[in-house]
Amino acid sequence: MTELVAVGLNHKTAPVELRERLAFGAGDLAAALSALRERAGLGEVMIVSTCNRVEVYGVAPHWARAGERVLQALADTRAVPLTELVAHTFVRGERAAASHICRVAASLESMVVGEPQILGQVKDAFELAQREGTVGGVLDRCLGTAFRAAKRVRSETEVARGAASVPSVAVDLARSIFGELTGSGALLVGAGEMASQAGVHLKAAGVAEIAVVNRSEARGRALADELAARFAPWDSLDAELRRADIVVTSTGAQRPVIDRALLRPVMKVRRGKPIFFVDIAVPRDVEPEVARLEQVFLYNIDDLQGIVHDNMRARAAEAERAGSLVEEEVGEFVAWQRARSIGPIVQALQQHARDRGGGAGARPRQAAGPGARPAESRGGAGQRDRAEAAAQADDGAAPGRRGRGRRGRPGRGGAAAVRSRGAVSDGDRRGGGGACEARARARVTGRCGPSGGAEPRAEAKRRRGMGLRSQAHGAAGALAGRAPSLVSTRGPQGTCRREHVR
Amino acid sequence: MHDPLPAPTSALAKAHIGLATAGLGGFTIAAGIAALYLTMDRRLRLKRWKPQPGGLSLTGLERLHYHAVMLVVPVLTLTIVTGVLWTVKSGGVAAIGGRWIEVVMAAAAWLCSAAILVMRAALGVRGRKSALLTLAAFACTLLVLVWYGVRA
Repeated sequence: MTELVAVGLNHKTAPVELRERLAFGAGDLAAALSALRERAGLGEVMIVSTCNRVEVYGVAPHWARAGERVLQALADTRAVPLTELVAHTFVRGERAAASHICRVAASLESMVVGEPQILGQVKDAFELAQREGTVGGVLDRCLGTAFRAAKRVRSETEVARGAASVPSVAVDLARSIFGELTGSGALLVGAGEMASQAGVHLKAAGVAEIAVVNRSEARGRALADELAARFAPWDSLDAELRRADIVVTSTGAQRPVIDRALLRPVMKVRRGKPIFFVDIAVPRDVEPEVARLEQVFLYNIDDLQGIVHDNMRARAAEAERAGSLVEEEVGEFVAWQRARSIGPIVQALQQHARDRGGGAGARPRQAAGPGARPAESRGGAGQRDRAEAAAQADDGAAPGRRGRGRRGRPGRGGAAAVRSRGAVSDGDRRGGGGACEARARARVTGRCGPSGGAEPRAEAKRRRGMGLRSQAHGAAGALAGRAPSLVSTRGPQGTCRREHVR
Repeated sequence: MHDPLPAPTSALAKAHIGLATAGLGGFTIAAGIAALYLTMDRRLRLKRWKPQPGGLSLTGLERLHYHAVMLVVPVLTLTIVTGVLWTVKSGGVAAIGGRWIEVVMAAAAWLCSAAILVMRAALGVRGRKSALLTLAAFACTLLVLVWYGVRA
């Protein structure tokens, strides 16, 4: 039996001082994976280390104990007192862990909800763990679910819609005025940090030319060099205003440096060409009356922050919808894990039936008595073989070979399958174990509908109501005459129950 | 009361009606773009515009509007010429005086639309002023159409 565990800290649980002490450098991660696997006794492990989070996702026989061992290992290797670490970390198991991983990948746990970088960072972490050989069936499946959930969240909700930073909003507004910015010129008035950030965003947006005007030539030239832009002296401000389409002002001046008197002749020369002022300086660099001129658009820092605020509010509203979408995917992962945990019982049943009946064609119903409802009675030998194949495939088979799930949806394979759809198609075309596995798994979990042809709808419904515990009892009941055995079954929210079954 | 319109049997009359229909269609499109431009411009100025990736741009709308007006002006010119010729042919020069409302409205529409092109070329005037002129020209052509409707 294996359980999923997520241990770590992030911007919600820990201050930056602790996060930076725990963060893994890109070069340290590979060694850390092996070390953590050994020290914490994890079957599978991957580490997501970004500026906002350090999280360890692992698979172990008991998630709670594994969580403690991971914390101890982190405390030892990163030289952080265990008590301090425990105060700022979370340990989640099973469904809660899967849900957390999916929410992280879908950017619902990010500082800026909906930001796209985290998905790439999780993918990088997963690929590294794959290269290091610390990923097995469970993490592969879980991360596949997470990547699929992230994709659905981005495409089916508007959680990533609307810019989330002042420079991004400025660029979006510039696009609203000029369309594509590839033919536009930008002018940075001032050479501070804000000007630098705006310049980076404008450059990324494809602005054709950037000029920097600054009172201090040294700082202005430094910024111009950093952005591969052109420096122009302060005296040439009006000449530069005639050429530029987007003007970002961020000087430390106490009075406006661009006023109506300066701009009126400039606009005459521009012959009606629009100009967009982004005034991110406080006190403001552009006189507000300038906005009354024809074809002049002026946004100050409050205007931009207002748009950012509106966007973030809209994202937060969408995040709720995205959360329920993620839970749908997590539900499928949890169902898969339950089916997987029953695999050994099914195998034991098969072995028992063979032992008692002396062959594959023997019926355990005869051995177990009329009251028992052995799992095998729901299908023939072929079905049993498929269930067995499913259990084996889940343990180590290439995830890309997994077939299509219910309702013809894309293959519910692991992360490798999500990244490599070709492999899924191959599996489907060959009609190999993938599709059979999905059907067999559905039967084992009592989710088989009439299309499966194995049982009537009413019985399937009743069996779903029984739940896994009843199935475990039913399966164990077939082991008539066998000594009581300890069977672990999973309850909701990743709790672990242990029950004696006869 | 004004004289009723003569039946459009001649080739000139048919050409006038065809050109007028095309011109009105063109003006409708140009006026629609101008209205969109003015709405977007106003929202941007009032800081109520929500930027959307891949959406409309103000400059793109302005360019589209200019091209639409460029296509409409020659059609409108020919419409006015064929209209005047048709009127003179069917009722003499004096008939033009009897239809002064259509003549004034058509001339105003032509002047507005021609002004858009001339002011842009000569003075670089574009944006809100151009869009407002297009809407004014469109209103004039609509009045001509309404007047035709009344007389018909």
